Amino acid sequence: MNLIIGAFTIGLILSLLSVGMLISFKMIKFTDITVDGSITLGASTTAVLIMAGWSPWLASLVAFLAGMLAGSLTGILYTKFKIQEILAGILMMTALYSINLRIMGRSNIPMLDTKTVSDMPEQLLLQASGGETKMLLSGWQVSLIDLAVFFSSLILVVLISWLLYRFLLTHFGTVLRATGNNVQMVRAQGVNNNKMIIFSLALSNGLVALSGSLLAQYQGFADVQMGIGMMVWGLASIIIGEALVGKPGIGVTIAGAILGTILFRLLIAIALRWGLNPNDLKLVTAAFVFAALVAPGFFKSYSQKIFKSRKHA
Amino acid sequence: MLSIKGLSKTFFPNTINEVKALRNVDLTLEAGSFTCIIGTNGSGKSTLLNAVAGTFVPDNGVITVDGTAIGGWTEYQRAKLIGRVFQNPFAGTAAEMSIAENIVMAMRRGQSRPLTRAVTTQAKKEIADKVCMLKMGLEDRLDNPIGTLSGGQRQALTLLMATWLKPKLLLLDEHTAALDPKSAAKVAELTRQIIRDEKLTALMVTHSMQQAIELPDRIVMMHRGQIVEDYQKEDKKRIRVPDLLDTFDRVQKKELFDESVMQLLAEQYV
Amino acid sequence: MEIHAKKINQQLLITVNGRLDASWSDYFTDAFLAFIRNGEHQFVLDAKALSFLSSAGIRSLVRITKELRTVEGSMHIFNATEFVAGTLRTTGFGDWLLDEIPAELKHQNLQPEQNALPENLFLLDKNASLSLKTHTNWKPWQLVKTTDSETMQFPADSYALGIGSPSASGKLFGDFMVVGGHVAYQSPEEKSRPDFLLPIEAYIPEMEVIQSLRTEGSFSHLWRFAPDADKSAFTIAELAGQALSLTHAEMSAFVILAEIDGLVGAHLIQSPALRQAENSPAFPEIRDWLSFSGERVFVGEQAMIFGVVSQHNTTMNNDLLIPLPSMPTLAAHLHAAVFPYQPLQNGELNLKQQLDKFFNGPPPKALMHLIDDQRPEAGLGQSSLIRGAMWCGKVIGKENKL
Repeated sequence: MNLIIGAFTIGLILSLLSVGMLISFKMIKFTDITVDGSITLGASTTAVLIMAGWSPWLASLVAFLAGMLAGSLTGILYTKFKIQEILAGILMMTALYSINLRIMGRSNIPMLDTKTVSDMPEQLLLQASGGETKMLLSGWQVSLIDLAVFFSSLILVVLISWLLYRFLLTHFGTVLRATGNNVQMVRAQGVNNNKMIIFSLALSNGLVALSGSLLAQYQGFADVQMGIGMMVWGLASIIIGEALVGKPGIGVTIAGAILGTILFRLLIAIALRWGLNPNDLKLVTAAFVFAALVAPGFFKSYSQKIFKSRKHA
Repeated sequence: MLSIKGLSKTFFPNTINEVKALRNVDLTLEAGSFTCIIGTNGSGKSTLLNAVAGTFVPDNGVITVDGTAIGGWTEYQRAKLIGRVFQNPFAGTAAEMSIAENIVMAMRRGQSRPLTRAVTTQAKKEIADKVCMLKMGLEDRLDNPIGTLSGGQRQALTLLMATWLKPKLLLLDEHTAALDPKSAAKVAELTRQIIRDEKLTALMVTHSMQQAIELPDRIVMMHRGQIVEDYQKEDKKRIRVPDLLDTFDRVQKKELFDESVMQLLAEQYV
Repeated sequence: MEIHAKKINQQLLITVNGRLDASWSDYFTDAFLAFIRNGEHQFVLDAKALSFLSSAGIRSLVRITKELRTVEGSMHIFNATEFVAGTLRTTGFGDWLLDEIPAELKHQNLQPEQNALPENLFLLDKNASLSLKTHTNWKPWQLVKTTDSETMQFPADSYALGIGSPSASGKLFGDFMVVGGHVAYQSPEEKSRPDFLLPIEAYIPEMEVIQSLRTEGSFSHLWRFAPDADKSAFTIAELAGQALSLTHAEMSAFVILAEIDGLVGAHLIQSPALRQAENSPAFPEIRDWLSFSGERVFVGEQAMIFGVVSQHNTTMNNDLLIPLPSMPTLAAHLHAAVFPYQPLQNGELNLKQQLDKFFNGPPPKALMHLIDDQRPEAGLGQSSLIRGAMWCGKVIGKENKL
């Protein structure tokens, strides 16, 4: 049971990564590789600040802002300096690797017995249970601390997603979505499309960094390598989410990304439980994303071939 | 309303592909007038329209809209004053977004985009009322993605969007050329109706002589980056399609009249 | 629908297979009009395989008959099915029907086919000739002085070409030509179309002229020309040469009415009277004074040409006759008016009647001074004509008026 709660919690935390990537990949159709760097940036910033005695809330906020800064720099490389989107992302990601090392001063920071954003709910829960650290949940023994982390993540993710949902429905959010759809139209409506791209990448990477920040707090360490492959994981989650909910409104799409991430984590937990070598995890993920990207087109052309041969017959 | 003075643009200067797209073009449009630009391919008519829209920076010349020099303005800044409809019926709308969302964006063309809900019940009602005018039954499909509509329907909506906030100037870039004949006729009629009802100042580029005769109050003919003919007021009234063809013919004849012809005529034209 | 045509003597036997209804009538009409354009004016229609005739089909036949009437042609139908014959009778067109197969077609296999070329020569008046007056007070591009212009009246026997202005229009000097007292004039404004002055009742057209070649008299010969297997068109030099050889003269004047294969020419687009400078306009300013056709124009339209031609370097030398670069032994000057195409009757044509027909029909589209363009590479060649009629006569008594 603890394993499942753990998977759910990590899923929730990483769903901020997926939701962030939803903005860049799906809303403005920007293949943003900065993600691998900015999730680590969130983690490293948080770790250093919390170790320095900052409030975890403030540290998370700074992580979010740091991610925004990284994202907007990618946007500026792309819009002002006309660097291709993939290359702009790679440049930023590479730069962030060194920056993260600089911030942390070494390749990883353990955070034992430090405060986290789930401290307050933990206290509340412990008070309510009268000092018991475990409780029975439908026959399973569950750690109250884990439960507190789970609930605080849930509340945070729901709150942020709801805010994002409301934001995307505003006038500003509407033109942001249109930017990925038809740049010429957006310009004709008097909107600076470059600013929209920079802002979207900032928001996207801010959420990714926040995800990294929470992940570091949950895992209790920040590692300079932790971002590697995160973009592909996020992509896999978004694809699963799309498969779950189809392609209707924005609200459902966001919910789909969250559910997709959680489901993906559960699948990984199960796979690891069944003996999958953790080192193969990224290969399996990449293979999965490849299959998901190629399959629809493959089936389409395959069915077309059949259709054609029938026609000829 | 629009004044263009001494506008010039050379693409790929000093290369083998050098194109003098605009040569010292002067054009003034009065407020509330509807002008049509016709010309051969590569005559510079679309380039002129794009120069006004701000797609590129001209080499020389001053463009003034409603008394404001807009030379230094970017394309999106000019959108405050200028409404546009493109040749590609898919260029003017965001395909994956709903009809209502598309129009809501046009309702604040060139204005700030506040963090308040965009598609409100109020806005939807307003949109339904106006979309009704197109007589395409779209008012019941406001939440459908605009990508599910036909080219003609999308172009009609683009026209509605470009004129939702009365623009100082409406630019139409062969906006019926990519449509099937029936849709093209419908969009042309809609164009005439909107421009007349809203008393808009409009500049249209077209390939269709028939449209050039029927729609505007003034016809400007371009050739090789210059305005070679300008039919307005009384002149415009008597012009028919064969007259336009004649004019094209005359312009081309001038083109073929070179120094060897002068020599020839000096010998044989007594 | 299938249409087959076979020439038998002077008649064209047409076999039609199918239905002549609304969907085929335009096709049928166009096919017939093409035959008429090719000079076929006598038709016999074998309607054995014509299964249906609707009112659209009748309208098509009426249209063809009307066209044939202008060239004194005819169309008859034989072998018609009961339905087709009935339809024609009830609609009042029974007189088109032939009761039996025309005798000449019955024995078609026995008779050798005759030469189908309508080319022909008619001697109109052996003694006819024309007198010439040349008016060259103005030379390009001098300033136009009041003394340069002379008011000329053009009675019915006058044929002329030159630069002038209708008396009422002031000093709008442009190219003009006169054929049998009918004046066609190209106003020297870029946008304007040619105008004309007609002799109606007692009115005699009058022009202020600064330069002209003017002849008076009548023509001795009429030559009908048409293409054959070897020759698809006749150039101006060939026609002018033919005029000289027919009239056995050193100088001839001629009028041509013919379908155009292509014209090359120029005309004034600004009146020389407006010119302020004494020198001739340089390039590119010249483009504001003269318009050049730039390509072979008015293909398929009908040209009315008046010209004067002389053997070069003879006693008949004339300032206004220019050696033709493609045939330097000839010097000529030709003006052409372009009318919308209408077919010409075969055989002997009356010039007066034709002039009435053309000048009372749709207005001319253009008037130009023909140019023989033999520029290397860029040259457009001579103007040439496909089929038509040329009236020509000898020019005698050179009389220069200075």
